[in-house]
Amino acid sequence: MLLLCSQSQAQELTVSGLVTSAEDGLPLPGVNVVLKGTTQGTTTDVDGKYSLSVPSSESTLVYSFIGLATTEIIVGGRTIIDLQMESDVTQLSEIVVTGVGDATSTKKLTISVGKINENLIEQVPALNAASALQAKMAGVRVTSAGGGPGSSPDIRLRSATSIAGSQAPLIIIDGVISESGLSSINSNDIETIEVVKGAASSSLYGSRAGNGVINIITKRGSNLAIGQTEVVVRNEYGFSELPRTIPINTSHNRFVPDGQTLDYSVHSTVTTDQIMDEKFTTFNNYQEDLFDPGSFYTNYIRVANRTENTNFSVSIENQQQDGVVFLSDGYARRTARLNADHYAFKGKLMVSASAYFSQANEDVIPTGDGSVLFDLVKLPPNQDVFAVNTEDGSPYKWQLNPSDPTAINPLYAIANRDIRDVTKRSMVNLGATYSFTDWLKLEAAYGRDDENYSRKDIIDNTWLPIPGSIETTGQVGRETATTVGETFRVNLFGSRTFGDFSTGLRLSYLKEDYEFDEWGFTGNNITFPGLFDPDALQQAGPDSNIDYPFVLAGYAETRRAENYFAVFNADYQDKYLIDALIRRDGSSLFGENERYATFYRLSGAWRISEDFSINNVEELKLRAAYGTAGNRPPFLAQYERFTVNGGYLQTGNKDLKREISKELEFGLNASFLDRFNLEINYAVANTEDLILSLLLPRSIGGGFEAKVENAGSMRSEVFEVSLNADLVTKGSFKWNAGVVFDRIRSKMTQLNASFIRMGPNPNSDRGQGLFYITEDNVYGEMWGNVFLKDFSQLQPEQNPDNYVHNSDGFLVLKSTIGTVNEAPITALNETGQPLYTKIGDSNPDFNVGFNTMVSWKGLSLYGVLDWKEGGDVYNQTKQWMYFNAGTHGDQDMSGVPQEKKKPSGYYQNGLYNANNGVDYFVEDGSWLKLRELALSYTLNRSTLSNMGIDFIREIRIGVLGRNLFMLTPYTGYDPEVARGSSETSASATSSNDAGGDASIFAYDGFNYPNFRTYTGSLTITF
Amino acid sequence: MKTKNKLSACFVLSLVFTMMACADLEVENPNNPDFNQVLGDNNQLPGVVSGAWNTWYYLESGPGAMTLAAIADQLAGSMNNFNVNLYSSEPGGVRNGINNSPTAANNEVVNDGWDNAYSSIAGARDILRIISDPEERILSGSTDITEMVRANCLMLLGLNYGYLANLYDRTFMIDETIEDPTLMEFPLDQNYNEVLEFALSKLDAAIAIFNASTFSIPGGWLNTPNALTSAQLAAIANSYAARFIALNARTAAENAGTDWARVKSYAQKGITEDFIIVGTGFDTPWVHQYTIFGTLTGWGRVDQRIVSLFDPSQPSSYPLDGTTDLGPANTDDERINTDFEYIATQWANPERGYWHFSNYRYKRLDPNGSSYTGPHPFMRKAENDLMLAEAIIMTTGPDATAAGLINNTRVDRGQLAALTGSESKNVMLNHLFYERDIELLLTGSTISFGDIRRRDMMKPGSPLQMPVPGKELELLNQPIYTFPPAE
Repeated sequence: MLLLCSQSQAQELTVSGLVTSAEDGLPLPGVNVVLKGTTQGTTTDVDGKYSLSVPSSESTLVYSFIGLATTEIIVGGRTIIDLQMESDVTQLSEIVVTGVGDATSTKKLTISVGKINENLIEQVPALNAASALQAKMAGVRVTSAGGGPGSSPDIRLRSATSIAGSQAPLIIIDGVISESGLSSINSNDIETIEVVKGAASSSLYGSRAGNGVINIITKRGSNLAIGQTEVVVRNEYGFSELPRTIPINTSHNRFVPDGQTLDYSVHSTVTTDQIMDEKFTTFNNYQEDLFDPGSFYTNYIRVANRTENTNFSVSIENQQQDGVVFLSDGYARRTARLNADHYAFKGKLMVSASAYFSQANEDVIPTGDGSVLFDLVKLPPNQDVFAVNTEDGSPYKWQLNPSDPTAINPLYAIANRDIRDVTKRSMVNLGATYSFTDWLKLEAAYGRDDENYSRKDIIDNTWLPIPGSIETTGQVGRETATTVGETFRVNLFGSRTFGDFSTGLRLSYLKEDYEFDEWGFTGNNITFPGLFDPDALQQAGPDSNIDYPFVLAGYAETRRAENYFAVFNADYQDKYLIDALIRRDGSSLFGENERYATFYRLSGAWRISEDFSINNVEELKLRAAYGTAGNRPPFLAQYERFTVNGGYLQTGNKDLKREISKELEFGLNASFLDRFNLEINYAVANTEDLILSLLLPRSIGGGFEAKVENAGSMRSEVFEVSLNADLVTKGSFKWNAGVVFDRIRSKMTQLNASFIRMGPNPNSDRGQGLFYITEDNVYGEMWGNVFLKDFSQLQPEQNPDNYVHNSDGFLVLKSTIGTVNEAPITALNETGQPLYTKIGDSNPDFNVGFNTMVSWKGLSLYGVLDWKEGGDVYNQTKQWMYFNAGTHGDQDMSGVPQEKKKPSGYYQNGLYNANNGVDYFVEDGSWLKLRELALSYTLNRSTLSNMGIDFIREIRIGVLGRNLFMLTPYTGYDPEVARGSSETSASATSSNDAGGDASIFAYDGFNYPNFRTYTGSLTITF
Repeated sequence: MKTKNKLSACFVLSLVFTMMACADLEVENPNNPDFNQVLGDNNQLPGVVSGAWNTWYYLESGPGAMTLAAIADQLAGSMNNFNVNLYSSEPGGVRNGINNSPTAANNEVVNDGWDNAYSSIAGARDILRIISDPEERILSGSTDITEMVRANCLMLLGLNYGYLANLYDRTFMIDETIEDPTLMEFPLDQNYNEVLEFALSKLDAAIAIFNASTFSIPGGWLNTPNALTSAQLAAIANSYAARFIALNARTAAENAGTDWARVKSYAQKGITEDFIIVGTGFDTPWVHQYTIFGTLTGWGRVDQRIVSLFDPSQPSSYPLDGTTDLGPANTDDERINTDFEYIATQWANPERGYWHFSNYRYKRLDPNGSSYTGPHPFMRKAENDLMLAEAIIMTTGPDATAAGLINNTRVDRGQLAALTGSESKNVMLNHLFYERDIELLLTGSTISFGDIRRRDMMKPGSPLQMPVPGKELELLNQPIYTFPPAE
């Protein structure tokens, strides 16, 4: 190799020139001018001029600038090359780096790689990097399952490729494999996001990429002109509020003697007809007390500079999201980033560093069953949540319903239980690239992602004596977890042209190390108020009979992997393109007999428009790719596991393999009429060897609960369309729009078990999830009972003469109609058991995203619409409200015509269905959401100069809205809801309910509702 | 310049080779032991015994016991945790039967007993299989404790199968002689008597070892206040054997056929003091959830049937007319003051039915505090006394001995007039069941359930036993059935 280093010094010459904009003829500063196939290059200065030495007159220079068409020019002996750059209508000449051997123009891609640029991200900077993808790319589903401030949405690319595991794609940030999600990544720093969906495209990433890959590249100083310093100051301020609340019952059916007011602790008798139509004399909708608009702000400063050999970019961001819950401090995040590159030895060596640090502090609001959000909607609404406690005069009287000891005033709970999460994260990438020649370079890099998470969950000993709550003596919970992910990468890139053939080869090695370590502690009996260290707790209680145990818990994981891969690509005259790769992964997560797995891809494309000239079509390309990618088993999956006291958990599996997704993708890219850019993809993926935790019968299963096996296959079909158009370009008036569409279907094709049940259920017992999977099912089907509505549902033993339709259309017992016992009845199966059948499907019919930008002079209007058609949601929140004190507005019989009134038992004993899954609570989860809306005015440099301001390059003033508006038939807070991976610990891998998928498990169970945010922003660029 | 280039290339390359050490892909699981760690090392086996004891403790003290007591009209509550509300409601005068759907929510009463019994059985069985090889010995220091471990494992099999025999209609009888349980056929034609005999054979084998040796088991195995001796364990095993036989009958007719001589024989060798296990509180291995949910403010109360035993002028079921206070029970029994608390208002939600109303709560265990830590009677001496008394009455008729056994609590605690033994059989039995209903609350999980069904006193529609859990049947590819059976 060292020999290669020394042969490339011949015939050096210097090229210089001026780059201008074709649109207005003005000089373009900051245009990248790079010697093709290398990292050597320069940028134009503030006057659009550049100068660069190149090795030979055969060298090719590549000129690129965001928003303009990348242009390649062969030097051909010239020393002055001036260039007018055209605006990139089609965006076809963009460069992508994800999923391919080396940076590749989109024109020459044989696979589908999605890309979102800064210009789409910066309009309404997302609260985190995941939200930035919402509704902007076909086949990308971003679900904000729990809308709490600081929560990170779940991302799914194309179809589900795992059942037991997560659908989370592999995330790479500036070359570092992210081990801790995207919630701490600020989107102001992002330059581009590249998305590789499906196994054919993501094969390069082997056993980590079955769910696809998201590659985030942050801003560097390399886009600036040499000598330029850029300072960006951005401030955004506004507030958040809850768009809508759940309807609450304003009536009750308690018998209250004349002259008395309702007191639940005294009036324990219901009215004769048991109809809830007695209006509360005092009515408080506690949602209006608990949900309280909160403020929101972001401050961001970025400073970047470029000199001849060095560039850097430093930024800091400070973000505060109060959220919408009263008394909660919400989420505060501070981030800092430094990106720097240095070129040495005439640009042959590039040393590159990226460092990121973030700290997020969150005031956690517990959600789910039994949480404050649960009590909030099931307490009888005739109380004053602000009343003081008689015990000690403290605010927020804890007991609002003596009949329900488990429900306490949510304000009391929030005020007196303090849960604080602190998450510190640092990501570092250090890399060096050496270009031996213009066709061979070697890159080595070390990346590291550290996260330190800690939680303090404190109830002081002033907590009032609530029955059954050990917290009366105070309770201290502590938890810390550290995650360290390290990667070491070596890549050798070669590219050569042989006549009409261009070829590229990449050989790579990737080593991964991952350590996770967590421990937790819970103790009671705080001796002195305010002293919360474990030392300050007493184990022996005031009563000598009582010991307050300290409970310790811990969990640790080590994962290691080494991966080798090779990618080869070639094209003939830029017309016929092929690409092949092979990858061999070794992972400690695979069973000991299956430590290595192979992945591969073969893909090709034909640029028809290079062979045939078609009227009004600038570019037409057909693609086909077949490739494999996989998912690794969760850490615990391969091990035989007992509890330390001899309990039986799981049999071991030394033959446990990766899950593998084999995808065939066909694609079409076209640019036409000088303004439209179309991409269509159709992909079929067969995912095999799905890793599943299969339940064992407790009796004859030897005591083990489950075994983990490669036990299933799934087939998915994906159809995606993206269309971007520059609809109008007339002088300073511009209107462009983009629409993305996807339709995804997945079906089980094989299962080595008669069934699996997945996902959430009200009592979270293992194997009882609402989602039922058999060999013939669609993944996402909800199963449960159905209420009788038609005589055809009756079994032969059920005499039709005994049944009659009631005013709601349910078939009820004739003998009960109009009585307190009238209630819907569940259909039975032939053995007389409640019929268990399909009641819903969470898969949408299709998704459409729409974005548009209209600009006129400095004024611009930008919006993103997100339409999800179909896809059911299970409204468990409503189901539970039907039981407890009958608080749901549906049960409010005041104002209902007498003949339609139903007694409380109709809901509590009938529709509630003992909290078991039933068709009644399956609702259409379609939505149309206005995700982002921004109106902004930009003062550019010339305007500012005219105003006599020279030191400012640009001022932008904007009014922004996030999640401003929603249309949906859904009756809860928001149909964008799920209980999935965010609700379950990473370590809970013993059952299929572990990972889960927010896009599948559409289940409304007392989640923190998504909220909308209105802000104003001011961005000044110096 | 060229040298520098070479140097920098060497720099990159040396970085590459330094970091490119081969990855070690063998990683241990630091969180859970595997079979070899747990059962491959005889030193670890006592830990497995302790775990199996703890699982059995859950069987008898888990929340499903609260549901059984509610079905047996001994406790009452309107919460639907553990389906207490569902299975003790009587719409139209008929109890809701068991929903044995594999997905039925809150079905601890069906699932937990089965799951815990087989989990406990698995540990005991595996150890018995290991030590069935005479070469395999278990040492504690230099002491050979193999026989002690064997006796404990046999006792665990006996206790778990006794529980299964009395609560479930069918059971897989798996012990160390079964080579591969996965090949076992579903016991379609089995009678629960067979399971009872299987359980008794295991208890007899354990008792034989206890009687032949002298040892004490570590206190931590069962979290008893003091280490239990082999003699104490023999007595406990005898008392449980007596309980299993006494409570196996599903109906009064079957009860008449119970082998009372055998009950007598076991009870005569039974416990002479309360069998105590110390509770350690919420979220710890020894937490008596049955007691917590049966007595905690806002949760369980004592069923009106028990109140009416104290005061026959009160109805045996709570009125369904909207009455909220029946007033204090009028009785001479002192226990109404020492063990029970009168509360004029209701905790139960009337919207969920008046069936769950009651004006009394059980307070005898209150000294243990709201987290139920401290010594808890797991089987009372009174139970053994009353089983012996019943066996005497049922075999040789009422006598002074039987009367004395009933008087132990009737007079000493209740301060009621002593029985003499000259009372009729029915009168004696009524007094005996009165004592059982009032004295044995919140001890064994199947006592009240067993007592009600063997007297044909279950409310219409109530299950007399539990089906094999639906989620187990589903995994065994068996049709789902339930109790009472679908019409």
